[in-house]
Amino acid sequence: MMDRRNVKNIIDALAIHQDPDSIRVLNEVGTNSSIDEVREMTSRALVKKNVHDSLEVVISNQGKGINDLSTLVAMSTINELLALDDKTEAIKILEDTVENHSEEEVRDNARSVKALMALSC
Amino acid sequence: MGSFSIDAVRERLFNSTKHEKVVSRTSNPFAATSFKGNVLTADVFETKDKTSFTGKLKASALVSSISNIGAKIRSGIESVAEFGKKVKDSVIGGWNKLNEIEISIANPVKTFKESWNAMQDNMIVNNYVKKEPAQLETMLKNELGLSVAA
Repeated sequence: MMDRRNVKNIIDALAIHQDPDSIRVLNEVGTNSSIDEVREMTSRALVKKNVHDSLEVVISNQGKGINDLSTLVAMSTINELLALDDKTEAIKILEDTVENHSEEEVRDNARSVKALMALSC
Repeated sequence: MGSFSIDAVRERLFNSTKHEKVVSRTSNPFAATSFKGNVLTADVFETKDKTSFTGKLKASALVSSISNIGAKIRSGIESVAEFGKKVKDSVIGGWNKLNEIEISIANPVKTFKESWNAMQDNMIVNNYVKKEPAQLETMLKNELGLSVAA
């Protein structure tokens, strides 16, 4: 099995990086990885950033974050969202996704997570 | 049928050669070495008619010596028991102390290794943050190799 220690270190560094380009790297490289573990680490990193652009990746994109086909990735992302201290931006994006997203599946997922977020507040 | 007698037992035990006949046991391979030709020809039971032990002084000395031996043995056993108890108390006390101060000796090497790795990872992450995201992108791609989906 491949040692993902350095992968985790790089993703952790991108998670706390202040440069907005770090979101692009996480989105393009991390969330498109074929390895569930890497996608999970990336989604959590994007949630931890807790900014509009990073949250949008894991909430409104089909096949990424809460919409990932892997239960491990989806549940980990939801768990990270629930653990946020400030959920304001996440709830705003969830509401927007529920109302405006073209895909019904994405809207349903956002609705469910929004309900969970409301319960955890 | 013979009856059981303590005196007979003592006599047989302590003066066994006096009562046993020497019997040649050429067919017995152990006779010449282990028992030197002496074998028990009678059991420790005797009939009512036979009284083989009468000397009071001798009996008294024997009983006394047996009593002393018993006392010594008892004393020995007690000291062993006491020693065992001390060891047990010491072990239990030590174990309780370990529990009180919450020292886990289950896998200290593993715990130390994990702490050490976590500390190293923190240092590495702090160094990586100083790099440009583009550099980190290259590093991440290199680490993932072919695992990165096109």
